[in-house]
Amino acid sequence: MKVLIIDDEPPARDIIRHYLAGSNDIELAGECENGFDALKKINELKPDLIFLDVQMPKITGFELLELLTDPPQIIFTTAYDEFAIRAFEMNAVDYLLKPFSKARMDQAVERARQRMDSRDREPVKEVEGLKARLDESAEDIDRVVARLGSKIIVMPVDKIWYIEAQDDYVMVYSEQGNYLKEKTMKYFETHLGPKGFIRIHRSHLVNVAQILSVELYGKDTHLVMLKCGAKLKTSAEGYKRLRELL
Amino acid sequence: MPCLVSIGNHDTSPNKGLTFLDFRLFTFYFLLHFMFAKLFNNKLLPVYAGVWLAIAVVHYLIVTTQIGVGLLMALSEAFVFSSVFALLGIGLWFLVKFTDLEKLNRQEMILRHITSSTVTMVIWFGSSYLILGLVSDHDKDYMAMLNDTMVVRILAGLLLYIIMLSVFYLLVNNQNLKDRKAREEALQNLLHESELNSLRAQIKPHFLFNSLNSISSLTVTNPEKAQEMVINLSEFMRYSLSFSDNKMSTLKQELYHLRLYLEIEKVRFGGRLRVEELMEQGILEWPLPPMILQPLVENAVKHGVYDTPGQSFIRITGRVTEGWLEISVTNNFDPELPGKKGTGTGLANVMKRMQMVYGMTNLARITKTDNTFEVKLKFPGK
Repeated sequence: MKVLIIDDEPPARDIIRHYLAGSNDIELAGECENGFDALKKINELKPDLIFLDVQMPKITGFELLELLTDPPQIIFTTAYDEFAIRAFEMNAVDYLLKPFSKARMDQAVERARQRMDSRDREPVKEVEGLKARLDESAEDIDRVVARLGSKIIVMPVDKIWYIEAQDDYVMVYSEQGNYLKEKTMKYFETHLGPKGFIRIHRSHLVNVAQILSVELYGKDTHLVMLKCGAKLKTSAEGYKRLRELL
Repeated sequence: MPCLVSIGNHDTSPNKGLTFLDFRLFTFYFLLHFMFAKLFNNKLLPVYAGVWLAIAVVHYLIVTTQIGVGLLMALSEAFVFSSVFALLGIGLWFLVKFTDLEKLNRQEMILRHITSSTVTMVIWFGSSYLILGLVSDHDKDYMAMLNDTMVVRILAGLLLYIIMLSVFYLLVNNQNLKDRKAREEALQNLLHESELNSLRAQIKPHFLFNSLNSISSLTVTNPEKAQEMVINLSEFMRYSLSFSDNKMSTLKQELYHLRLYLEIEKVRFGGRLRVEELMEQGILEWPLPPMILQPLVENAVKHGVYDTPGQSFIRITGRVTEGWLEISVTNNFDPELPGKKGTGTGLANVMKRMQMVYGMTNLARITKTDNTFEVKLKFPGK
């Protein structure tokens, strides 16, 4: 079993490495100290199991999770994060609270091994549940992460122009470029609403700060002109919402 | 009292009654004095006695001039009526004092005072009547006069009762108001203290558990270092638990404990954290509120090391300018990464604390450049 350790604190990695050293069937493929490295290594090394710390620089363990299309088995680790622990508790994902014992870790590894042996390569149900749970959380977001191959793009919310629905995905248009995200419009509407985004149409969520002007277009529709040059149609309801805000 | 005797000599009453009266009045006087002192043990007692003395004088004047009572009997009755009423007044005082106005409705109130005023009048007039009967040796003319003037006397008594009642209510109300004010003040002080408490830097659970995890790891890889870290952590925690705002700390103490904290963070993050300390000569004994710098450094670590991959630095400088100690804490951060939202309570709390301790605003300044963040605090001397 190929294992990758992702944690920004060296002693935290040391202890996992030390605990793993006794097992014959475990091959430590590598260690990463941030999410950027981790995505690259996961793509390169294709580990079977990752130990993933939640609190890390650049992107958090949860944000990394968003970017993984076919995630390996995951054992989350965290020291103290009420939000994360609540999310874990509501889903049967494995997580270790630091500091943890070897016995406790072995137990988690054993579970991962069993799941792998069962050849259940469907997207792991528990991880999907955790993702859904995290999406539902009431927290505002300050940034959106996206990936391009192994490259991670972090878009601060104020640099996002607008978001467009595209079938099962959404396209995020920002200063840093346009990126597909595997999320729903509803998700962004809820989390970006408090950050000054408004749904002007079924398929468009616009950053109000980016609006240049609103022009009449046809009988019931208006056209929203953005600073970036984009022109987006409003629905009657979307226009009402816009009117209320402006 | 002896004066009463000499006046008494000019009166028409028999001498036998006079010595008897003299003795009884003396006893009565001491009894009264004792009770007053016991019950009314406060500043109001002399005032109360003074008022009753004045009433007795008026009483005396009225009965001598208006009714023509003899000198000795006039004095006696003025004294007896007033003393008895004064004693009953003490009872009334306690009745008022221990009546919770808010708990009684108007009807109960009125009923209570009708009862108490009736009882007071009956006891007052009845006992005065009996005493004066004894004093005058049942002088027929005098007793007849008492009977004739009973209604007027009782009406006057009722008037006094009402006045006394009003004054007592006013006093009690005033006292209650003062009590409430004092209690509010005490509460305010408590609030101030607890506010200061809540503003204090507290060890974050996140830091604590991560440190414990590092220790857990070091016990395997480097036991000596693990021990060192346990000691550092303990010493740091002890300081942070023991400080109080009443006691000032010194820059030396503060720096010592900051170093403990930073040593722990350095173990956690390996070579990623670099710390620089630049202190001017001779400032180490400067008084500082304890744990005031801790949140600044913690903040620097949070936005520096926690959120920045690769190297980060923290610079702590101290110098004196124009009689003020200036401490600045600077850290670098990754400009390309929109930081996760910090609640900003750490810095806000430091500023509030500075304001509460020194009673001044403008003691803190924040400077932000493209990739550095600096907080500067100014501390007055002793």
